[in-house]
Amino acid sequence: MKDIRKVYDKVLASMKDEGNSALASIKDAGRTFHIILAILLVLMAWGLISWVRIMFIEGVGITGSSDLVPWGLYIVCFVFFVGTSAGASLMGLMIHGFGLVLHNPTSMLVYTSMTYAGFATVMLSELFFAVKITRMGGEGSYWDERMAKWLAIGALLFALMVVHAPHGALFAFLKAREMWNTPLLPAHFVTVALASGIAVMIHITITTAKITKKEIVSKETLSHMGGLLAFFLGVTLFMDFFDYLVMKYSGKPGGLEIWHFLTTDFIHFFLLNTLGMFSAMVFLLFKWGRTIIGLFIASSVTIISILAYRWDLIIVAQIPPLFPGIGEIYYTPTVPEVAVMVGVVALVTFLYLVLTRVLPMEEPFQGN
Amino acid sequence: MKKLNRREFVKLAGIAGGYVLWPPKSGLAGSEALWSSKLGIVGDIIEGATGFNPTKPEGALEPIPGVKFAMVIDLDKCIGCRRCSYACKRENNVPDAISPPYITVFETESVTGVSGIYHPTEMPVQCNHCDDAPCVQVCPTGASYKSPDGIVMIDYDKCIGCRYCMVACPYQARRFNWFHPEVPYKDRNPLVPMREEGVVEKCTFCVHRTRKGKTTRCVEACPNKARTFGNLNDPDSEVSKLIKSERWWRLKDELNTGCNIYYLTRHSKKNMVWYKPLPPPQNIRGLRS
Ligand code: SF4
Ligand code: SF4
Repeated sequence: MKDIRKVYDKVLASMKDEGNSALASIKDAGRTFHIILAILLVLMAWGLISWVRIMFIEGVGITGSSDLVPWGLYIVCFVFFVGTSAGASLMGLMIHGFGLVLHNPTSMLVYTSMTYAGFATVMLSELFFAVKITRMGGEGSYWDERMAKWLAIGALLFALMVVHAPHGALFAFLKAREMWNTPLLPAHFVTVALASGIAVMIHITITTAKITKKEIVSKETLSHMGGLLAFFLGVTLFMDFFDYLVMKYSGKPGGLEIWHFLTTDFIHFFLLNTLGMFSAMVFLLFKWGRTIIGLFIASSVTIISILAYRWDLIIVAQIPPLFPGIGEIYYTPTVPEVAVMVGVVALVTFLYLVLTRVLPMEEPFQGN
Repeated sequence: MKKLNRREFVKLAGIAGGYVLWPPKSGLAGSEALWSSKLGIVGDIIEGATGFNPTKPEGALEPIPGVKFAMVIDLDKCIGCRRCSYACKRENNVPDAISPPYITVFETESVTGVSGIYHPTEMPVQCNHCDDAPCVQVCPTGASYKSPDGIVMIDYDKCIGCRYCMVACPYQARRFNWFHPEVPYKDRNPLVPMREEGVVEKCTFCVHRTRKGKTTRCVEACPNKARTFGNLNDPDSEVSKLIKSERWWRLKDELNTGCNIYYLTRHSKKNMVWYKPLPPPQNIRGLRS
């Protein structure tokens, strides 16, 4: 323990921050903050080691995926993150990063990965103007403010029409898989994306406010966001209800099979998803549900229920055998796979914590 | 030198012959090697045993103009021996880690409409080289592509292992290299490139043979001539004649994938009851045994 203390003091002392306000703000952030950063660094290292094991040492075979369930936890998280617009350019960066020329412009995957790159550009430009205005003490030039506003509106439309809906189409096009092959999916992706996006925003805002002991967004704004969340949860549940109803009562063998798996082997995820979303929505309809603590609970429940939904969407769709009588197909994620995902979440949290310290993003939203 | 008497000669010849037909330690199971030799696999291995292992065989692999390959499988002739599956595995350097190999044989039953009697039917399934292939539509890098001669090919150098094609294929025809594929050097067919870990592979309609005018290995291996391979564009070819019989049907035709494998059965496939895949699962990834 003493040794750790010594190392910690040494690291702090070695951080020379003359003239570097970014470093100084991290150095002054206090010990709890530093401990959190250290834990996140450990998790990131765990993820990195597992990723290296999977990609370069032992092989993709140490994940739980198989020829029967080719898409596993990665895709579940990929869909969740893209839906909440964090890590949206993951796939795009992966494909572009390896310098591969994309030869098939009609593949939905090429289309969506290009849109992530486009989305990232719009978001970065938006960030540029927002930071510029903040740096000028909240009073940007006329053009800066206009640009920031229109880029934000543009990003929103872009996210809805160009990123999320086609992202649903990525799955909806696959006629081989009954659960995905529905025209409802693109629309569903948009509403789930909005619900999870708002829930994560509420969650992060409240947690950050708690940690930094500053009010980042006014209570009214938060309560308003809670109302919006309830609305999108309601729309999603409405679509879900009729989707399941059709699945169950149209009597199509494929649909019945999916219904069977949802309500037997995957019943816990199914209940977590539907009951979670429903209770969060009902909770948010009441005034006390939109207080800080109420919003915190509702947004947490929403995030968990949407994660459960993503799990069901990706995994259950692959469980019914493509030929009758193949046998019982299963998928269980393995430790290295989980580690990579934990590492990615740790990385995002780490960047968020450090960047919110370094970039002065809070002020303009105060009471706004 | 002591002369061999007849009995000794027969004994020695027997042992030597046994070694040729049934090598004690080859990649094949004993009985399979026996069958292989009967079917000419041994001959072919010798023919190709140049020690040369190109990753991309040059020349002679361009699609033949005007040809469209197709296969007809007569289920009434299939006895479910799985020789096609083993021969394919051997021919295409499919590692043991890939299980099941490219061809899965299902055990099914079909019932005659009038008498209601169940007939056991074996049903081999592999890549159907679809005309409107879902796997080709979704592949982001263009690694999976449709050749003019109808073969759906994979460029292993372009495949990034995203497995989108695998979830898109309605026939579970694609296999992924989860680990580095190991095939002992002496058992490799030098005409077929070895794949890397992290790429997808599947039946190629034996492109290295068929584009040179030979037939596929599975067709050769079938002892009951259940399989026929040929040019669909040629009205006189055997496949063209067979599909005039109107006994044919294609797997999941309602998906409009345009399969190029046609099945023949006496009974309507509507009366078919599927029950399990052969071979009995030998640690198939993702399947509870
Ligand atoms: S059977 Fe599957 S792998 Fe083969 S061409 Fe059709 S979709 Fe592609
Ligand atoms: S796994 Fe390879 S062949 Fe399949 S879609 Fe991805 S890049 Fe194409």
